Parts: sequence; structure tokens; C-alpha cells
Amino acid sequence: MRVAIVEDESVVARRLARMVRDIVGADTAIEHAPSLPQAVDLIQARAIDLLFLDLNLNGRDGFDLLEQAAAARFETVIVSAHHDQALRAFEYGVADFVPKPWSEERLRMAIDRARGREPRTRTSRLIVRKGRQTQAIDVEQLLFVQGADDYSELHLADGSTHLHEKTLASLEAQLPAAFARVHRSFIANLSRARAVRSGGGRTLLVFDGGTVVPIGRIYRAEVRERLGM
Amino acid sequence: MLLAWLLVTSLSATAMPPQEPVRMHAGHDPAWASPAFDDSSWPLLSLWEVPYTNDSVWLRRTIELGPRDNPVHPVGVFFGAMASHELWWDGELIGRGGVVGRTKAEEVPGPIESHYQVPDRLAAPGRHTIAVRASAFHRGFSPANGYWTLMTGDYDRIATIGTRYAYQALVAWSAILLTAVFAFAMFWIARRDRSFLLLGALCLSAAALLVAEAWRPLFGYTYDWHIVRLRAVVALSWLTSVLLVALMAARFPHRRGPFLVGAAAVVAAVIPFIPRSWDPKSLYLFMFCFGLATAWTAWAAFRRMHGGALALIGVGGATAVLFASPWRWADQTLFFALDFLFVCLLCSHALEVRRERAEKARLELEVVKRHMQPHFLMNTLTALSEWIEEEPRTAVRMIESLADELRILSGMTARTLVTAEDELRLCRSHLATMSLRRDVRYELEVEGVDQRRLVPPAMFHTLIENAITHGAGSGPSVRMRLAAREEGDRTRYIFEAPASGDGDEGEERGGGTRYIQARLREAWGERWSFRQGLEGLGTQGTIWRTEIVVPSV
Repeated sequence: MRVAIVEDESVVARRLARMVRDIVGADTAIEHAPSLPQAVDLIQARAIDLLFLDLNLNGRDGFDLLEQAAAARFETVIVSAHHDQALRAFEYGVADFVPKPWSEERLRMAIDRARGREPRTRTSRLIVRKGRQTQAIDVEQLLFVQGADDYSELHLADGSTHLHEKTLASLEAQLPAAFARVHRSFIANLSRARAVRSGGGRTLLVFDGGTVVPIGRIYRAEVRERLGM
Repeated sequence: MLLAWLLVTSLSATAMPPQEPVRMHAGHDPAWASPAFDDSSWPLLSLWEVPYTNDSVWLRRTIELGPRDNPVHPVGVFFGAMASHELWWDGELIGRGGVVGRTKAEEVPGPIESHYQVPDRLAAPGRHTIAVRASAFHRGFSPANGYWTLMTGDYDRIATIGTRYAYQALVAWSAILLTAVFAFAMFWIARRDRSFLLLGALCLSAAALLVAEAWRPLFGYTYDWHIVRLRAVVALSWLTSVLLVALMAARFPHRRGPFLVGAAAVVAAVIPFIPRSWDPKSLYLFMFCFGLATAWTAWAAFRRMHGGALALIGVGGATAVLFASPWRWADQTLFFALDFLFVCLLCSHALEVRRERAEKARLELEVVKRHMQPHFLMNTLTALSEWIEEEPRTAVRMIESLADELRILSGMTARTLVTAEDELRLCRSHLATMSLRRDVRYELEVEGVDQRRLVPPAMFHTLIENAITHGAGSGPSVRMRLAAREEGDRTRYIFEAPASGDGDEGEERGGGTRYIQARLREAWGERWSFRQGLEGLGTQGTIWRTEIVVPSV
């Protein structure tokens, strides 16, 4: 596992690194960015699996940085002295928000959430990258998400599609309860589904506008039950 | 309310009626007192035209007494002049002021104003002759005319002609004196604010002016003192109106303020030499200075300075009264206008005091809050947890330095100024805490700072905090420098620290900067300067430089 720590307080960063090694394993590769420019480079390189981000670097608001991180494929855990920023941070789909000071147990929980081993706070928005810019998408506008090799395609009610760097499994962990896996490669927004149609050995989920996605054999019973059919 | 009422009644008081002409002749003959004497060959003059002669003069006037409104009320004669006099009614002497003489040696100066009761037996309805014998050798320097007034009427009214205004003015006088006492007390006890000293001086000068104005009706004097009193009135008018301008300049400071006050004082000193008669001398200089003071407060109110609007109401109101009825100003409306002005100024000072008290509480809270705010507290506690688990001895040192810092801080936040020695102790303990928290060696090089000088609490401390939060500070050690230079009665402090230099610095340091400026203002009003910015490349890269100049105390 490759871990990055963005933190301008060196003793705090040292504590974080020490505990991450204790929890994840001594062979964990840990990079440290003590300043904003270094943090930007680190996030743009994307050669990590998990980011620990302090939202207050050199007295600056770190939400621009968080937006970049939220659009990336790795998971982000916020470590901050400002617990009042937690609600806002969760809107970016972060795996967890750890207030300072923390205990080892609290950090272990955060890492488990980032790895998908523990349930986490669901997000109401997804951040996607558009060139160097980022764009926030309200999850209610989503019809379904289709998984590709190591990225996902977001299909919106207005017919537009957006690429997201996170895997289908990672998005499944952060999308709200209205979303369900309906196929090995599809997560559907059941609150926008209208009907289940069968024919020719295939079962399809039909959305409000007529768009359809396939329902995998093992998911059929659960989907029908959740839709009350 | 009382003030408003007094103002209205004094405004509505009737002016004296125009005076009938008199027949005049210089020289002396006892027969000229008689009603039987035919004076038709004597020139007929207005009282204002009575010339200054080198002998005694006789003035004669024939009047018609109608039936009396109230038969119980006696008839009275009012005589006011810069002259000694004998007053004859139908050939009978009914009063004298001083001793009239035909040479300066013979004459003894009489009172400036007199009033006499006419015996009832002489006051039957019909024609009567008033004859006045007068001499005026003691006028000192000779005015154009001698202020002559001769009136008859209801004795009770005649007798109170001047005192009515004087008693109204006395009501204002006590209020003005009380304001003076209050202003001086505020200056000595509470604030040492120059504007209180000026307000007190203004009140004293106005009170003295009022005494000079009211002296004639209240106490009277022999006529040879008249010019002396008039000169005192002009001088006190000058002092009062210039002090008003100076007070506004002190209250609402401007770079050019002292120059403007000086210029106003000179112009106001020249104005009395322009008109020949006495009343306009004071009046024009009042108009000039009050107009200027109104313009000044209007500027202050426009710039939204604290208390500017109230001062404008006070000064503008007084000026409006002055221009609305200029000829009632000196002996009637001036003092009520001043009372109104002082009430407005005191209210504005009270508001200012309240604002400053709130500001002081805010500043005190701000320092404490900075140490309770999450960024400082939570990062410190996190670093402390790490030291506790890894190096307990270091943790104890960190707790010690933190406790030290908080102790010094709590001892100084409530004060306006602290010694540089205490302030530097606070800085060192903060640097010790921060060095352990961030595992960076923060050092402060101090040069030329006099430990006994006074500075606002947590001023350097805030600069250091800003420098650590926003500075580069990534190396194993960070050096900051604080130097002081004495420049006459001022001290210049220069603080330099390495900066990250990636733009937008000033805006981000805003919170700390505003705190320092508010503290400086609290301690020294506007007598300080604060400048900061990035300085080219030093040996450590970009340098953040702050220069603060304060009075040396």
C-alpha cells in the first residue's frame, strides 16, 4: 500500500506515519508533503492508494486541494484540527474525517473505512476531473454508473456521461443507499428506476427516460424485492 | 427640553424699540434743566450721532406720557452711556451717576447703566421734559460714539431690561462650568486624551466670555471700564471660537490639522480689526470659526469617523443658530447654542468610551481565542500526544513551555501596554512551544530593544505567530530578527522573518495585522505607523518585513 501524508506540522506528520506503519504494515511506502506546492505535485502524480490530508496548510484553506484529491482514484482521509469542517469534507466523498488529536484505534477505523472494510459516511456529490478543472455532480442526477477497467462512467439523467477515476467498488462504498449493484459492471440509482423488463433470456432495469441497464442473474431477486415487484 | 425652551424664549425676546431723537448743546447753564427753556434752536440729533465734545453736554427730549396701563406701577427712566450724568425730569433732579464736570479733573466717572423711578407726583399724563447733563472725559481711547440710551416706561420693565438676558445666560453658565469640570476630570483621571483638555479649555473660555458679556447687567461698572470689557469680550470670543476649531481638529485628526488650526487662529485674530463697531468684531470671527468647525465635522461625518455625526449635529446646530439670528448671538443665543454643542460632544465622547470598552474586551478575547482556537490547540495536543508516547521528557518540556506561555499571556491581555521585557518573555516561551510542536528550531535574534519600553500586549508575539504559520519554516531551523531603533521621541521596531513567498501573503496575515493595529490604536490613537511587506531576497530567501513606529514610552 502506498500512503501519502500532507501535513505542515512535522511532529504531527511523524505521528501519523508511525501509526500507519503500525496498522498497515512496516513495508508501507509513505511520502510526506509539508507544503502546498509539494502536496499538489503528490496528488497530481496519483501514484498512491491512500492520502492523509490536513485541510489547513500554512494558514490556508485546503478545499481546493481536497477537490483535486476527491476526483482521483485513491481514497482520502482528512486529518484536521477543525472538526467543524467535517460535514463539508464528507460532501467531497472522503473516506473519513479524523479530528486532531487522535488515538491509534480512531486511525485504524479510518484506514478500514478507506479500504472498504467498514461502512462509511455516504456522499451527496461526486467530484470528477475535466482537464485541469474539477466538477461536482449531484448524486441525485445519476441514473447509473458503469465500471470500466480501472475507472467508471457516470451516466446522468440529462443523457451526459462523465468519467470518474475511482473504481466501481470504491464508488459503491460511498454512494448513498438508493444506489445498488445490479450487475457486475453496473450500479443503478433505484430511486430513478421505473420497471424491470424480461425477455430473450435477459432482464433489464428501465429508468424514467427509457434508458435500460442489464440486471445480472445473481442480483435479480434483490432488485425486484427492493423495487417492490 | 429646558435648553430648547430657553433657546426659544431668548430668541423670541423683543429687541429694544428705536429711540426718539434729542436736542443737544455743549457747555453748561443750570437753566437748561427747566421744562420752560426753549431748546428749539438746539440741533436735533439721533442718540448715535451725539459727538464727543471737550465740555459737558446737555441733551433734552420732550415726551408724551399716556394714561398708565397699571396705575400702581411707577414710571421709570433708563439711561445708559459712556458718560457721567445728571437726570432732570420737568426741571427736578431725579438721579445722578458719578459727578459731571466741565474738565477731566472735575468729572468722576458714573455707572455705565442707570435706571431711575420718576416720582408719582411728576408722572401725570401729558407732556414732560427730560434733560440730561453729561460729561465723558474718561472714555480712554475714543470710540466713534459713546453708546447712548435713554428710555422711559414702566419702571419694573426698565429695571430688568438687561438682567433678563443675564439670568438666562447664567443658567447656561452653570452647565458650561459643569462640562468644564467633567472634561478636566476625564482628562486627568481616565484618558489623558487631548480632546478632553481642549473641551475643558473651551468651556472655561466660554464661561469667561459669558461673565464678560453679563457683567454689565449683573454687576455694572463705571463707564471708563466699558472699552476694557469690550476688548475682553473680543479676546474671549477669539479664544472660544479658535478652541472650538482646535477641539474638532483633535477629535477628528487630519494630517493638515495643526496647520489649519494655526491658520484659523491667525485669520480669526485679524477679523476684529475690520469692522469699526464692537458687536460685529466678535460676531464675524464667530461666524468664521463656527463655519470652519461645521465644515470639519461634516468631513468627519462624511468619512464615517466615530462620533462625527453627533459632533456635526452639535456644531452644525450651534452654527445654524448663529447664522439664523446673528444679532442676538452675543448676549442671548450663544450660550444655549454652546450648551447644546457640549451635550452633543459629551454624548459623542460617551459613545466613544463605550466603543473603546467593547473594543478592549474584543482585543482581550482575541488573544485568548487564538490560543483556544483549534489550529493552535489541537495541533499542539497532537504533537504532545506524540511526545508522550515517544519521548516523555520532551513532552514534559513542551507542557512547561506551554504553561509558561499561557501564564504570561493571561497576565497581560487585560492591559493596554506591557514592558518589552514581558513581551519578549512571552515570545520566547511561544518559540519554545512551537519548536517542540513542529520539531523545528525557531530562534529570535533581538537587537537594540530597550527592555523598559512599553508596547501593546502580544504585538511581537502576533508577528511571530504569523511568521510561523505562514512562513517557509521547513528547514531544521528558522531565524527571525527583531531590531529596535530610537528616533527622537519615537521607537522604530523592525521584525524580519523568512516567508514562503508564494503570493497573497498580506491578505492571509490579515487577522493578526488587524489585531496589532487595533492594539496600537487603543494605546496611542493615531500616533503610530505600521508597514509590512515582502522584501527581496535575503540570505534565507524571501523575507517578510514589518516596521512599526511608536512613541517611546
